[in-house]
This record gives sequence, C-alpha cells and structure tokens, in this order.
Amino acid sequence: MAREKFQTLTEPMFYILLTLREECCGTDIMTRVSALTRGRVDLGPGTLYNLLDSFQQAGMIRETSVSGRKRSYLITDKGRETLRAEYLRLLALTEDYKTCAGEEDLK
Amino acid sequence: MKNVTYRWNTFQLYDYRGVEEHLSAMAAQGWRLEKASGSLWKYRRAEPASLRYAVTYNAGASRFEPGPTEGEQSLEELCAAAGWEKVSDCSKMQIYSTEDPAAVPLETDEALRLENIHRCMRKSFLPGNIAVLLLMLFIGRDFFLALVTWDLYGMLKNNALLTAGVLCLAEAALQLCLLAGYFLWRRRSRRSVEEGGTCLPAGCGSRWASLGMWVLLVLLVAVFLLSELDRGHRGAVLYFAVYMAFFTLINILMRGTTALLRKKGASKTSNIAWTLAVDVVLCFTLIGGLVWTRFETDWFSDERPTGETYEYRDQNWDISPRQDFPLTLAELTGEEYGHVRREAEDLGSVFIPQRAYRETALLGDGPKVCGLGYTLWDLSSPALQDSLLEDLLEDDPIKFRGMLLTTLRYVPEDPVPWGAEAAYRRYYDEDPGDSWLLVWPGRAVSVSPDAEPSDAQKALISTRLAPEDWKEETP
Repeated sequence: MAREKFQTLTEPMFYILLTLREECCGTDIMTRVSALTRGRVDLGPGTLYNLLDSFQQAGMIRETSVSGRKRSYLITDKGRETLRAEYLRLLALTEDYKTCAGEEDLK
Repeated sequence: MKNVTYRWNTFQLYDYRGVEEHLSAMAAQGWRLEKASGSLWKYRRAEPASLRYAVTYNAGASRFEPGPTEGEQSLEELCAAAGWEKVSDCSKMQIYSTEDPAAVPLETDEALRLENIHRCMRKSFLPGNIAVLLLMLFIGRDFFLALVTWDLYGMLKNNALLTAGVLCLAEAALQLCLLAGYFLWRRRSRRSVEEGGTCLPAGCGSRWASLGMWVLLVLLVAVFLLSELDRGHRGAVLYFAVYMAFFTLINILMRGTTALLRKKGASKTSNIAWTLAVDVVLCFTLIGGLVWTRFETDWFSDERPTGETYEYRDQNWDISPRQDFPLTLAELTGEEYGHVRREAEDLGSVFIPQRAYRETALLGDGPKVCGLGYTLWDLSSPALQDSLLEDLLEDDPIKFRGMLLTTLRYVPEDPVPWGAEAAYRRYYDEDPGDSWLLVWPGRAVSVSPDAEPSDAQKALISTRLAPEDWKEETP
C-alpha cells in the first residue's frame, strides 16, 4: 500500500525527504522547504504532520529524538531510495522534454 | 448581558469548510469558540474580530485519551510554529485559529487532506453510521416488512409500533442520506483534486437532513403522546417520560464517567472499558428495572379499577362493576351473577381504534367461572378493513418447542343469524371453538362467549356490537 502510495512523490513529499537528509524537526522542515524553494512551496503544518506520519509508517524516515513536543527525524535508506528514484524520474522527464522540444524552446 | 452562548453542532465530520466559515462568522459577531466537544458547542463573548479558523484531522485522536496524544502535541507544535493556535477539538477534528492573514494554511495538499478525512471517517464515523442504520432496520423490521408488503393493518395497528416504525424508517433514511452524501462529496472532491482543485464544499444537504430528523422526532413524539393522553393512556405517557429521562441520565452519566476518567488520567483502554461497564450496569438497572416495573407492578398500567374490589375464592371481584360495557354476560345469558369482574382496555392506534372487553363471573358460589370477551375494531376505510381481515383470517399455527400443536383458523359461516355482513367461526384444526369474527362495514368484532350462542343471543350480540349506521339501515 505504502509503496504504491509513494511511487511518485508530490512536491511537498519530495522536499520533506530532501530536507531530512539532515536531521531536523518539523518546524525546521517548514522553514527549510520554504527557503529552499524561495517560498514557492509552502508546507502547511497539518499536511506536514500527516506526511511525516505516513513516511514513518512506510519506513522512509525515522524519529531520532524527542525533546518536549519537538520531534526530530532523519531519512532512512528506503527514503533515500525513493527520493533517488523520484529524482531519476524527473531527470527522465527533463531528458524527454529536451529530446522532443529541444533546447530552443527553453530560450 | 450573557457572555456564553451555545450552538447545536450540525456539521458533518468532513465538512471542514462549513465549520471554518461558521466559526469565522461567529468571531466577526463577537463570539469565539471555547469548546467544541459533543453536540453542543460553547462560545464566549469577545471583541468582534477578523479571525481565520482552520480545521485539520488527526485519525489517532480519541475522546477517551487522558490528554493530548503525542501526535496531537506534535501537531500543535507545528501549528504554533506556523502561527496557528489550538482552539478546541471535536473527536478527530482539530480546530485552530489565527489572526495572521498571511499564515500558511494548515493543509497545503488537498489530496492528502482528502485521504486523511477518509481515514478519520472510516475509523469511527462510517462504522457508527452503518451500525445505526442496521440497528434501525432491526428495530423497525416489523414495520418495514408491513410497509414492503403494504400490510396496512400491520403498519397502523399500534400507536407505539407506528411511531417507532416511522422514526426507525426516518433514521434509517437519514443514515443512508448521510452515507450517500459523504461518498458523493468524496467522489466529487477527488475529481476536483485530480484536476488540481480543492476539496469541494460539503453543502447543506446533510445538515438539513439531520435537522429535519429532529423536527420529525419531536413532532412524532408529540403526536404519539397526545394521542395516548387523548385515549386516557396516562400510564403509557408516564412510562415513555420515565424511559426518556433514564435514557438521558444514562447518556449524561456515561459522558461524565468518560470525562472523570480522563481527568484522573486513566488510559484510553481502561476509560473505554469502564465507560462500557458503567453503560451496561446503568442499562440493566435503570432500563431493565423500568421494564420489570412495567410488567410486575401496575405503576404504568392504565387499567384503573372503577371501584373497590373484594376477595372471594382466592379471586378479586368488583364491588361495583363498571357499567360502560356495550354487552354484559348477564344480558347475554339472562342469568344474574353474584360475583363479577370487568376489564376494558384501549388498544390499537389513532388510525385503527381497538377496544377489548372482558367479563368474568362466578357461577353460583363457585368454584366454576364463566366469561365473555369481545374486541371491537373501528375501521375508517375499506382498505384498512380488508387488511385487518387478511391478518385475522390467516391460519395461525400454535407451536411448542418447534412442534405444531394446533392450527387456529377462521371458517366462514352463515352471517344472517348474527345480523352481520360476514361471520367466521374459529376452529382448532377440525374442532370448532367458541370464538367468532363478525364483520360489518367499518367494524370488525371478535367475540368469545363460553358456549355457542343461540340465535337469540347472536341477535343480541349483533344489536349491541354492530355499528350504529348498520343498525339504522337494517332495523
């Protein structure tokens, strides 16, 4: 079920996993994703909470520490694999675009 | 000026937009949500403000948890970091507010929101809806069967059955509407999300259906109680009132138990177990006790003796037998009886009034007794009469431990001596019994003397029990 669910990643999913290559807490994830995408991708706290929960259940991230209400997470090997697969999928899309439309269309 | 007000919560769990809009409108009017648990939401007066409310869902939340779960605390922490303050929660619905118009919305992934809502609905509300639907179908099965087979008498024969049947039918229809409403909303929202849009507004259909159900409930109960009072059934009304009071008390005590255990920090499992135990004990003691009282005492009985009784040969007899019987044993047999007991009971419903009379008399000084019983049904339409006759004339097999003892059936006989339109005698298999069913337009009578009446007695029975307009037409 989880495999099927994360076969392709949405932007919030992609950036959460990308951010969790380094250990960080939920609040940091929101800040970092916003900074990384220059405000293009905003992560709502409800969405982030549910995604962290789903990632954890799917074994793609793990909880590393709990300090009061603050919980920190880190990506797992399975999460890295999923993230890499998504990157390769996006690359393939880009290559296909270049093949079909050519560099000229980008100018 | 009051500082607190309450509103009845009619929002469905998935109607987050409705809740958000409602709370923002209330805040603009100067009422801020304080507590959203249960069906009655509490608001406190505040300065009118332009507040943004947002709803998110936590499938792990439960009203039996002693405090916010780790998940809820994490969510609260994330929301606080994004500028949202927790206001209250209602089951799995978590309500937040902010004064910051630029705060990031709680949910930024509509597909995930839809999936999360469905997880919450599947976890508690859908099983609840389906359980209520099945329960209603079970309780109202006799009424539904009568409705499906269009058995008018089966549907209308009894006020309580009719009221309960209509309520069960309406509640079952409401649950179906709510289920259909949710799945329709989910399908439309999923399509919208797939096309890059948001989840759609839930609409007011479910809210109106719930409201309509309450109106119907109040109306039907009022009609039922008034019609019972009109027929002098004060005992039935009192029983209903006590039943409803006990039901409400059980509800309050159950909620109180849950709240107390939460306060004491009991675990979710022990809270559920204790609440369930309290529920079972209360149901057995209060409702069970009430049912026992109804059958074992005459507290809720409408059979009030018309006068004092005395005891003779181990039986109670009337000192002054009631005089409102259309036909008495003494009139039928021409005998005088020294010891008589008379009982009459209003049965049936507003649509099919049914009155049963029973007289018992001691033969001489006893110990033998004799009796006369009859039941009158007044039927306002031929369709009702046909339906009643169909029901009464149906063969009635009497079984004991699965073994057929006898079959009761009515066999037609000559109605002329009875002065009736139709007459039937009851048989036990092939043996004739001393019960007859007499039919006139607009009335059916079941009469059971102790022996087969003579022609003169049959004529007397007809004179006394036939409807007035029939007697006028056929003097």
